[in-house]
Amino acid sequence: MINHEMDMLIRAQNGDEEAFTSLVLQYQNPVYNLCYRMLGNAQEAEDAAQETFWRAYQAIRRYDRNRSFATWLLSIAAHYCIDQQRKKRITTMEIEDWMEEVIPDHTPEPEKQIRENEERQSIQSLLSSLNPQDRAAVILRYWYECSEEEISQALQLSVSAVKSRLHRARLRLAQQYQSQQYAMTERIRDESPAF
Amino acid sequence: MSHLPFENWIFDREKLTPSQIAELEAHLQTCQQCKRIQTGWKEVETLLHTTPLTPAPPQFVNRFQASLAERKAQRQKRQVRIALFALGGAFVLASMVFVLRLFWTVPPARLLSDLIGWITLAPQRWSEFQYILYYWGSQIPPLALVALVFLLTGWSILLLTLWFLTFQRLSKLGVRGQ
Repeated sequence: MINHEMDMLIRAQNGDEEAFTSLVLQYQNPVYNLCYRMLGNAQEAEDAAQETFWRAYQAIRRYDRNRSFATWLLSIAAHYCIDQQRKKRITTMEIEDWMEEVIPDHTPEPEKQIRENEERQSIQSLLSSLNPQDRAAVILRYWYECSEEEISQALQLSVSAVKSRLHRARLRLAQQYQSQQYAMTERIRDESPAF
Repeated sequence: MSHLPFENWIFDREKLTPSQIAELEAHLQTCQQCKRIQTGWKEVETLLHTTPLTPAPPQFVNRFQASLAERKAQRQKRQVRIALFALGGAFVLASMVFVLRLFWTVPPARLLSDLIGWITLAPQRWSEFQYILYYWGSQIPPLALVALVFLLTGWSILLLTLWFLTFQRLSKLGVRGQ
């Protein structure tokens, strides 16, 4: 951990609100991205990210400085999102909404924006096929490059459970991707005037 | 056909030895199911590695600061309510203990007769009290009376200010002072 961040953490643990705000500034993107990947909706992701930082603010005195702050923060976010998902019991309708949703992008190039949106929709629909804990494990592994040990700490699972979840999730993602491709090919064939 | 350990190897290709890779490749030549998983996984893995972090919306930190101030204010109000409720509860409990002790040590008949006696004698006591006030009022020099009034008023103002400041501090900073 860099000295500046450690300094901010110590100050935040001593009740310095400004130091905590600078930590929010530093970690807003990773936390928001995790919430967005978990929940698939921009507004819910923002609410979840705000709630994560509020929970972190309340618990900052109990944070153990020997642990990685990013893992600690992502752990709070992941647990909150998993709880939200359990409460919500996502319906097929909502999953379709995710696929339709277009996140506003600030890039001026429309082609790039369209391509990025397609990728987002594709990855989001794939992630939505996983159960919340498997999804959290995949997100932590691929977006944050967390090791299996770090994932196990963040999700409070054993390392073997993480390995098993990652394996199950990868298999599911591969199968889901193949099904999507097959469905897309079928749709194109049906829409084509040649058939 | 058994797909183990090939199914696992597809996802952990980088950890395989050259002989295991050769074995996996041979299996993929004959197993369509594993071949499909590998093709799908390669695409998914590329997507996972190339999809960037979605950035937080603009003004996220400002909204956090506003929300933090609001939540802290709510928490402090809740703490004050809990503290006042606890104080009130303690007072009620102490009163109940006092009343129960009174009933335990003094017979109810005597309590009732004392109460009736006190109510009957109340007008007489009130007139006696007025007489005492009048008597001492006429005995004390006017200057001492003014000084006494000033003293009492001063103490009242001081105590009220202290009470007001304590109440303000509790409302503003919360019971834990955070």
